[in-house]
Amino acid sequence: MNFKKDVSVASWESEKGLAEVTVKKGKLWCSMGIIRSSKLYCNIEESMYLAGLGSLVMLNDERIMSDDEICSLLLFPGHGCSWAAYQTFAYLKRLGYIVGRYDVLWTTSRKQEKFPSLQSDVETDLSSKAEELILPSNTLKSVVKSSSREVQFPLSDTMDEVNCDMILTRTGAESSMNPSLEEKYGNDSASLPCDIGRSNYPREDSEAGLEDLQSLSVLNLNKDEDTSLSVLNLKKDEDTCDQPMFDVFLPNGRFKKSVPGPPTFRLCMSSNHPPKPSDIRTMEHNCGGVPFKYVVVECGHISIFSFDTDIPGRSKQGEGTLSRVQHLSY
Amino acid sequence: MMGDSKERRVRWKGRHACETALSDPMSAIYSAIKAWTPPSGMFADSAVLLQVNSEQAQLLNRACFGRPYPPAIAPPPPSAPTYPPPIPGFDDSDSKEGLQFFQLALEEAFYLNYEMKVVDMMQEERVLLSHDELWRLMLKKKQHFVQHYKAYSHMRSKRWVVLSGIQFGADFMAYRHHPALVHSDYAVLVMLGEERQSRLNTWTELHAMGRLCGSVAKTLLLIYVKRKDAAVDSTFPSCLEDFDLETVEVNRWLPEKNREAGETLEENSELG
Repeated sequence: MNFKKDVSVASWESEKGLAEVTVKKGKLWCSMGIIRSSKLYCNIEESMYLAGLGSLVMLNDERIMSDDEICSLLLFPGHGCSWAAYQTFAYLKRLGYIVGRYDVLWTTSRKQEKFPSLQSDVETDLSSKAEELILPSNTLKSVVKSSSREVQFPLSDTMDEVNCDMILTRTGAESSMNPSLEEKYGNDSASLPCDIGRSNYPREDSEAGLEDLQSLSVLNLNKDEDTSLSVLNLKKDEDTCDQPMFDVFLPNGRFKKSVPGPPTFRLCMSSNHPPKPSDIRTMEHNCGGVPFKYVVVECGHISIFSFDTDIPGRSKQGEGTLSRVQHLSY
Repeated sequence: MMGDSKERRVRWKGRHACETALSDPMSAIYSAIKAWTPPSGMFADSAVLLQVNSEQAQLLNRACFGRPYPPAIAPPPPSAPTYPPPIPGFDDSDSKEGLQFFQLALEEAFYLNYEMKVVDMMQEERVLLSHDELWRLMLKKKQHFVQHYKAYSHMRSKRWVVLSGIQFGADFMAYRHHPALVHSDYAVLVMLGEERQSRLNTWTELHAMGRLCGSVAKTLLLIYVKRKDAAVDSTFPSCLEDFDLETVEVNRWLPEKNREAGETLEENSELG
């Protein structure tokens, strides 16, 4: 076994489907793992990848886990990662990309005391923006499936100063207040303060004033409830591909979990067949303006395709140009 | 028919490849595999994972069953393909008991389990699967597994090295020996029955396949797998006997290149 200087230790928690990192070593954790209640957790694909590199020792009930035990956890469907998805994850990680589960927040902890002193480092004009709020799909599911709001980690320690009657979306690129939210989901979200949410989330400014502003994806929390947020983002149906699997960011030594910005693209695991145009349109909608790609893994070969429904070459003067071309060819 | 009845020149890579291959024939490697203690495999989606020691990994590598996982971080330099190819993660200085994952395709796993009987397949609860149970699982995991497996096992039984052809847009690639030593002869497409297919139904598609094969210097081989009877019960692997197999090699003949008297050249490349 390779002896590495920086070896972290994580302890598998089966009820969460995550490993809590108890000994954190090295800079890799700047762009891996998620923070909940001030603790660092990694999902099964991150755990297996790091264990394979020798950067992480996995424990289960204080016993060191073997490679095939970790692999069995990975293959367990309840942990939300298939073998094909794992191969893709490892492939992109080896190339330096930053890869997180689609729509799972990197962190819910907040540095600042008060929320939110949204200074106008970002000019927003929410009242005039009529964009439809596209909720993160895991929130959507938890709302649509059952009317109870579930968050896995008790947020009371991080949410004290937060006005719980707030809605923010994660990437900000698609965020805005949507009064119709109330009628859709029956929450009393009408009391949203109007300076919440950032329609434009300029990544360039991300380190400046927005550093203190954490993006949260919670829906009308009641602090007293014991709530759980699905950090695994399990798919409803393994066979369909109606939502992406991963959010992928370009390699970035200054990546910040508190302000990750929108992903460079979203990655969808393909089903047995290439996507039809209707599938592509659904995915376009679900990805909320973020580019997306499909990955197909066959016999260890990983291929990533993008399907673009917007074909170049159409112009306002199109008709005139076209007829001229036709004329010339005859 | 395939290369046995017709004299087909093998395209070796490098001067010594032929001698190397002759000194390490496939049949000898297969015999060594049959003598080993069977490792156990488990399903991982549409793949199979085996945990093998370094000796077993070497044998699988030489016989071209599966690929080690994780793959090499840096690909070896292409100038001098080594044989047998190095297996990433297996350090000679490490203990011989070190285990590594090997990833197999479904056809490979079933061939090793059913034909060669050198691999055990397990369910999640560490329960050994019988050939029949394994067969049924395979049918569930891959559409047209029966026909693909029939084609695969036919070629393997003739000691062709058969690998996934996905990189080349085909179902399989077939080599006379290890890919490190020899260029692939065939890009194989498995055709279901003899009737009108959903693939290669038009000359456009045949041209496309031909162009693809030409640019990677391989010949297109179509393997038609059809039922002998209309009603074949595919619940058991013995149903493989109820399928007939016919191979068709497709070559594009170019009159421009064949005007000299003597051996007619079959060319697969498109005109300039």
